[in-house]
Formats: sequence, C-alpha cells, structure tokens
Amino acid sequence: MGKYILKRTLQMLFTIAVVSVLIFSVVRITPTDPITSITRGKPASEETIAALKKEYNLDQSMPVQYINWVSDMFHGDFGKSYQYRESVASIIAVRMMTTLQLMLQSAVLIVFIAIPFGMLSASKMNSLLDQTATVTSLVLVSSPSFFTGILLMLLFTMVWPVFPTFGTGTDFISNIRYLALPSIALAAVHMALIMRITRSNMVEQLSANYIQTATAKGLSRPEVVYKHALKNAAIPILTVTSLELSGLLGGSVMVEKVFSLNGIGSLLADSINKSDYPVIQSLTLLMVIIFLLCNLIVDILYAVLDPRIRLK
Amino acid sequence: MSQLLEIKNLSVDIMSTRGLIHAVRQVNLDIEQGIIHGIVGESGCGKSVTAKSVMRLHHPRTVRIRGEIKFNGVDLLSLSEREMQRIRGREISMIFQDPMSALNPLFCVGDQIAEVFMHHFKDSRAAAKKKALELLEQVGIHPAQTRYQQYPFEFSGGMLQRVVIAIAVAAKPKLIIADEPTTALDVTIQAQVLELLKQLQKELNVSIMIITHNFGIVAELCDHVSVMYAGTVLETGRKRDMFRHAVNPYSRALIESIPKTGHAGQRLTTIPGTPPELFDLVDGCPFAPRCDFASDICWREKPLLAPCAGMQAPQGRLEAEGESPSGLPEGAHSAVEIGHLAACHNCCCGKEAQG
Repeated sequence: MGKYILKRTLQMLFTIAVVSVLIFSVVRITPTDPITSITRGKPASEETIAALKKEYNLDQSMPVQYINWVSDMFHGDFGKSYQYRESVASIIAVRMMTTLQLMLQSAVLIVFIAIPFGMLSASKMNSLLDQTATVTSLVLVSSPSFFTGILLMLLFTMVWPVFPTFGTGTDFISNIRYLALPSIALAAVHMALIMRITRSNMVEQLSANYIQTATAKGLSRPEVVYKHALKNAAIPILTVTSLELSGLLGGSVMVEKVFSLNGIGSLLADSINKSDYPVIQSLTLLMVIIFLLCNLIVDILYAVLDPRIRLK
Repeated sequence: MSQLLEIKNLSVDIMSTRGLIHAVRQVNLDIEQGIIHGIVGESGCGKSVTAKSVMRLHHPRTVRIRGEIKFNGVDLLSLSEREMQRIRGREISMIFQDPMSALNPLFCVGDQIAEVFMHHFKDSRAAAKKKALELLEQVGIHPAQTRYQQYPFEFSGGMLQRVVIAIAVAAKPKLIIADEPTTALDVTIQAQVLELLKQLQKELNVSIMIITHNFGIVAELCDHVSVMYAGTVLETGRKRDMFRHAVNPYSRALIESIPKTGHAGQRLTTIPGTPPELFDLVDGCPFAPRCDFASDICWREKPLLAPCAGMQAPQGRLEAEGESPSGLPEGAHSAVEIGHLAACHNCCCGKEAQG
C-alpha cells in the first residue's frame, strides 16, 4: 500500500515537470507581444523596451527563462504580472477566495445532489422519477455553462428575483447567495454527467450475480443497494467525480466572465488576452497540480476500496 | 412424509423486449421434507425461473407469477416483501451457478458468511465471526482463520462454491435451492462439491432442490427427480423408478444421453433439435416436435401429469433394447404407491386419467 502511494506520487511529480515545460513553451507561442501589455499599449522608445525586457527577464534565451521561472518558484516567487505590475502570488491570493467558494458550492451540488439522485434513479429504474431525472440530465449535459448561466440570469432578473445575478458580496456568508447562480451554472453540466454515470453504474451493479446472493441471504433492499452495490459502483463514480471536480477550475473561466466575478477564472481570461506570461503560467500550473492531486487522492481511494488493487 | 414445498399451478410470465415469455406453465411440484429433489431439463426449460420464483427473486415489475408456492403450508406468493426477507436465507436459501461472480468482490469471504448470522440472529460481530469460522472449517476451507480475511479473487472456483454453500447452510434452513451448483466447475471439483452437499444434507436433515441438466448428478445425489421441458413438468418420481422405467420419451432420452464409459467409438446419444422458444402457448405436448413417438393426439392435446408406472412400447423400439414390451415393467409397483407421475399420451395410465 505504501509502495503503491509512493509510486503514484513519483508519477505525479514527473507529470508536473513535463507539463511545466509544455505550459512555458505554449504560452510563448501566442501571437501577442508581452511588451505591449507591460506598457499598457502605449508606444515606447527602444531604450524603454530594452529596459523592460531586462527587468522582466525577457532578453534571455528560452531555456534560461524557463530555469529562472522554475527556480524562482522553488523560492516562493511566482513572478511579476505584466499588466498589474504586482507579484503574481498576491494577485492570485486576492482572487482565489471567490473561485474557491464557487468551486466548493458547485462541488456540494455535485456530490450531494447528483450522486444521490443517480442512485435513487437506479434503484427505482424506469419509474417516473428515473425518467424525469434521465431527461433532465440529458438536457443539462448538452447545455454549455455560459448558456445555462445566461438563462439563469434571465430567469432570476425577470421572473423571480431572489438571487443576485452578478458581482460578489463582502464575506463568505453573503457570498453564498451571490454565488448561488454561478455555482449552479458551473455545476449543471457536471451534475448531469455524474448523475448519469452514477445511475448506469448502479444499474450495472444491481444486476450483478452477487446482488442476487445478497438478496437471497434475506438482506433488505437498502442493505443490498447501499452496502453491496454502492461499494462496487463507487470506483467508477469516484473516477468521474474527481475528473469533473478538477475540471471545475477550468469551467470557472467561462462562468466568472458571464457573472462578472473577480476570480481566478476571469483573471486567467484577461491574462491570456494581454499575454501576461507569469500569470498564465502560474494559473495553468496551479490547475494542473489541482487536477493531478485529485487523481492521486482517487488512486489512493481505489486501493482503500478495492482489495484487488490493494493486495496486488 | 410431509411436503415441505408444494408448488401448485405455477405460471411465470416474463416481459422481454421481444415479447412476453411464458417461462413456466402450470407447474405442479412437491418437495418432501429431508430429501434431495432434482429438477432436470435442457437449458431454457424454466428450471431456474421456477427456483427463483420460490425465492421471489424476480423483478416484480417485469415478471408476473401466478399460482401457489406453499412452504410449510404458507403461500410464499402472498407474503409481503418484509416477511419474505425473513424467509430468505433463514428458511430457504440458494446456491448459485457461478461461484466466481456470486460473491461480492469487495468484501472478504468471512464477512459475507458472518453477515447471515448478524442479519438473521442479530449476533454481534464477534459472535458471527466465530460461527463463520466454524462453518468455514465445516465446508472444508482450511485454515479458516487466514481464509476468513481473504477476498473472492484469492479463491479458486471450487473453494468459492464451498463459501457459497456455507452461506446457504449458515442459518440451518429447511430448504436449499441449488441452481446448477457444479456447472461452472471442473469435473473433479464437481464431485467434491456434490459430496459436500450430500454430507451437509445428512447432517442438517435439510431438503435440497437441485437444478441440473445432467442426469449423472441425479444418479449421484438425488432421491426424487422431476423432468422439466418447455416450462412444464413432464415426469416426476423417485430416482430409482425414473432410471428403471421412465415413462416420458423426453425423460428416457435424457437418461440415454448420459455418456457411458466402455463404449469407445460409438456416437454419443443426443436429442436432435433444441427446446422451443417460449413466446407462444401451445395446445399439444411441448416435446411433440422432437419426439420419436409423437402421434396425432400429441399435437392436439396437452398431456396431464397423472399417476403412471410404465410406457406402452411404441413401435418395437423398446423390444430392440430388450425391455419388456408390455405396459408395466416387471416388478413395478402400482402407480399411486410409488407416486410416479408422468405427462405423456403414450403412457397407458395417463390416457385413462384424461378419460
């Protein structure tokens, strides 16, 4: 078990190293010029440009720039934003809270609504509830988050104005209301997908032979469904849920734009527009690390759940 | 001897995407206390469907069951699901065909046995574990302490079937339904598992309803036999009577299909054709299309299960085999006495019974 975790962790570190190279190079392929973003579009003299290039380490060769970036990160320095002329770490720290809360609220919706509904749907297969849930999830899974977001905004400004439709509040509690609609818009696609995955896996497990054995033992239906079937269905559900949860950060780019939220997502969108290399690099790497951490946690959970992985 | 299980006019219809399947048609079957009763027939003859109906394991929305299944005088079909849960595993238990998939892969085997004690007797975890360990020893899994903690993937098929049997006998039920318990196993392991079943049956004085398509297993194990074909029971009686003078041509054909040793170079006896699909209800005998002795009446009228002791020799076939050509073979008891029932128009007694 310890060996298994160590192996997975080393694999993760290797992936992060490879991805950091990729991120660094891809960012530099974008056609815009970082100097324009540093001077905020104002024309600058040759000397100023040269001075700026020196200040932001842009005059050095690519490999040297990469090594500088990585070694700075190891010292806790994520660089200086071109557009804000502030340290990237402080910009991200300010924006992080909104996005984290947005992701948290979406995750709650996914874990506590989508998964239970998927299980209910499976254990009452072909009932009215199951069919309603199936149709709803089909609609949701095919609507992109910006579309769901705009629909929600329309609904809650014109018809039923109970939730604020843009901006954020001042603290966590007031933000719950402000982020209600954005989190629904962000979670909708993922909820639909996870509900369908949960349902299909539960249905598959419920028709397995060991379920018949459990029923023949005299166990009640809830015991059969939630003790025997759920544990077996949990592995694929976990896989997809972790993928979807780590994808939330990427999804927040669109949703934060639609709902004018000052989070990581909108920061990333702005930074890409302005070729703000340090911000793009740090945020993308952050997303990758969150994604890989989710996967690592799931890999460990696999082993906890499944003796066939744990004991081999 | 008293009847433990009485199945009366049982019909089971299953909804499928291709239409309604009449899987079991007016089946009557009695299983006595303390005996091993074999249900024999080819695949798709309604044997398993009948067994699952006794346990009420069918999905209520897609399967319709009519008739009566009386267990100790109580009609199981009239019980609520909650009452049925007290019967399952406690009074009637089941052994399934494929041991490799019959156990939950994510729980250690010992806990899956202990679950029965915890559920039906409200035993503590420790007490249930102690009983499960004893049971593992009893079904021949050693050393029980180590094997208890292991998971199904660490067991062989034969060993897993022993675990499944342990689960089935755990609560000392009155009836065990074994649905082709050895089909998925190696031949050498088959014999061991059958031996274990036989031994446990004696120790616990339990009735076993064993489903098989192998008359060899019947010869080995059973006291009574019923032959099923196309959702109906064609013949039922004691094993000895069945082997000596089976009446229905289908029963005879099944018995003749047992491969014999010392007949090298001979073709194996088979029954040509396959059992019919069960979408349509037929008027006549369901076996008529494959029967060598079918006459006009076989196509028109359904034979009734009636007391019978021997078959009228049809067209010299039996003479050729050197058996008595007359109706009753030598030394046969009278029909009612041996409780031998057969559904066949070729059977003299059956004809009389139908008038």
